[in-house]
Amino acid sequence: MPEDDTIDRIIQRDLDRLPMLPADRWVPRTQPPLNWMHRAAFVPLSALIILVAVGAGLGLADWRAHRTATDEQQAAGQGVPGPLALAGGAPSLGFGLVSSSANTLLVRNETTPDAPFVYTSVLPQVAVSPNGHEIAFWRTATDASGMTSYQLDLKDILVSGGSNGATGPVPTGRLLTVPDGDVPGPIVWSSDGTGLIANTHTPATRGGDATASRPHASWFKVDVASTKVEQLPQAFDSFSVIYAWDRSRDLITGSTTSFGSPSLAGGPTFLTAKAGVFESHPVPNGGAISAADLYAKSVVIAYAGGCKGPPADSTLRCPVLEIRDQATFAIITGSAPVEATSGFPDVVFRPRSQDLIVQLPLRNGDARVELWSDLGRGTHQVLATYTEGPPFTARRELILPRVDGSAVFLLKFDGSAGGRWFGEVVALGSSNEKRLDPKRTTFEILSGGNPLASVVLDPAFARAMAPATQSAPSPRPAIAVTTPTGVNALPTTPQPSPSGPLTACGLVTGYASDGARMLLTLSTSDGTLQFNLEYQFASSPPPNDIGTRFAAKMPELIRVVGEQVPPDTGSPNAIRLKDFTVTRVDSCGP
Amino acid sequence: VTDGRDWETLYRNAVPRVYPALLATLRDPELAEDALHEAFAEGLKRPPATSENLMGWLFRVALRRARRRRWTFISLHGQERRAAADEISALLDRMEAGRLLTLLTERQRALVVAHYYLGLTQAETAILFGVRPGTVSATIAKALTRMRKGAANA
Repeated sequence: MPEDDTIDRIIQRDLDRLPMLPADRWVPRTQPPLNWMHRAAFVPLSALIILVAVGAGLGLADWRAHRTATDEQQAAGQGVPGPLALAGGAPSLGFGLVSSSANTLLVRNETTPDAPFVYTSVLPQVAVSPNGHEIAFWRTATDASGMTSYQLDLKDILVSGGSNGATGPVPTGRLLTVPDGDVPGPIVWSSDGTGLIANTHTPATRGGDATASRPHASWFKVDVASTKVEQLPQAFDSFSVIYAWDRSRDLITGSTTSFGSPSLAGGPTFLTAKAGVFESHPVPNGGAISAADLYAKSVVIAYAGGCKGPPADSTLRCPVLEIRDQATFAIITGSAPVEATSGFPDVVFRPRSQDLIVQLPLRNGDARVELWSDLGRGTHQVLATYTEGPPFTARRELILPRVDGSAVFLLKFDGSAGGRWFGEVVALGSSNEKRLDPKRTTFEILSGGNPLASVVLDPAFARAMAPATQSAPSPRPAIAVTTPTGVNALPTTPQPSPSGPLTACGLVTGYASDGARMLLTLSTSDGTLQFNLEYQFASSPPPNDIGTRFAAKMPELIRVVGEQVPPDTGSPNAIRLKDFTVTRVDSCGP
Repeated sequence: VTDGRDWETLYRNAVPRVYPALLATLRDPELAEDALHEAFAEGLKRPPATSENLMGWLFRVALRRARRRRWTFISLHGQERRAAADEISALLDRMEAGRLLTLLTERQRALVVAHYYLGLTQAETAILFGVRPGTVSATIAKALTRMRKGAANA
């Protein structure tokens, strides 16, 4: 008969012989509630959820749509720099598109097919910094022994040049090497552009081998200035996606994908890590995360069931967009139910803002793109309507906003033409609605490969965009590039002196005009100069065919003489003149 | 416990002791693992004020989570889960401690394991489980009686 001390010894001895949980499973690989969901079906609970959803789902969505958050929660605009209008609804030399083609990243300006920057042996993904000209991507590297590894690489396309090995102020080369056996995952910039978070994970396996060790994901944060790399705590392994990293608030937001049937798992879970404290917020039943801004301010949840009653056609949906605070997941605002559509809307944030670009697939097969200002609380402006179906597909990458927030590319892939992307550039903030006919549009995106992201190529524009968190200058009227040509020179405008007489003469390498002023780029003996010339300050009318000749690739020499004045905020490093004359000359000699 | 990293370190130090305790109490490896994970998440969200008695804290939170969850679900992988549970039960039944603990209710098992395996005093156990010290004492005494009786019958 065991005594107390005997029982003590027996229990100690026997329980120590029990099989130990493998160390790689001590910490949950997925968020615990989902882990449970993954393995278990809440039969009574799910039945209850279904009943409640059937009985009250539509009303709930409507109720959500009209709920508002507290003033504190609504202060979502702080820290968001505000959109610029450095270019309008036409391709611009000052901006480019990063595209991927056959393990190569191409960076091209919007108007020409030439790729000034080419990065080889890379994966088809890129993360563009908030300032618009630093890009991070994964590159494969092979060492002397023939072993291949993935490395996180960083380039500033304004200073690094086109070669793979070029360097600049931004650290280049290997920032992070993916651990053996893992593959690279998403890359996210911090909202202030000073850091990166990158993911590595075990490759997805097929067949569901229950005996295999569980897949894992690791997240690393990189300080760009110091190149210091730090692995995030293992609790981050449950993040499938990271949306934003606000270093000033020590806040990281993301989500984990749902497991099993959405009706059981309730969709994805929104996750936050603030100062090391983790919180998970299940997305309400029927909801899906549609978009999140990179400032860790707002996240858009799309719900079906916004109709006042069931739609007559069961293939249609009545979506409601609900905006929640990324830090707390509290509701900020919801849209009124929109008209029935054939699918969920596509939503992207207008860069540098809390405006939403929403594409609605309409019931007749057409689609409509709208700009919803201030998280949908402001005006809803129709940007474009596609008149023929099927419209531009719902693939999100086809709605590609320009990095300064001035325009959006609405792109479509045409496989029959040997593979090309084409579409329209639509100015944001302009009142001109476009009606697009995908079959008739003549504009082709000359990026080559598959467009991934927008970047800024004009240093003057880049300076206007930095720092990322500056207060927003008033959007300037757009300057439309009227002369897409093969000219590929990018202006490298030196800092102009703030005042005094100025004379310059050179070859025209860039020209844009909006009727009120011209943006003229000259290649001179002193380097490339960019002028911001308002017609109202001209002493005599400038030639009216500069753009025409430039478009026709006719070399032309232009002399500019005037009184230099401080630049405006839209183009802080373009030279601005008053009392100026612009004349065409045969030579730039004295 | 100040932040997530501290918590994870403390947690990892405690797991080798707490997991067998959960296994012996719950007799279900998947349930024990899930409960442990939930306790970890609970600690990330609301870390215990002090690292003292962390094993006891983890044990108690995990048990509470396991109890809250267990009746509500049926397993999507029922056969696998049952097989794993049967395997542990068979192993426990081959052990003297396992056979004796089987004679107890789950609550009795929890208190016995906390006291005899995790080394908590009856007072600490009472605080953790939110009961009076006398209740712990009485429950353990009753459990011992039952175990002795079971051992004698064997």
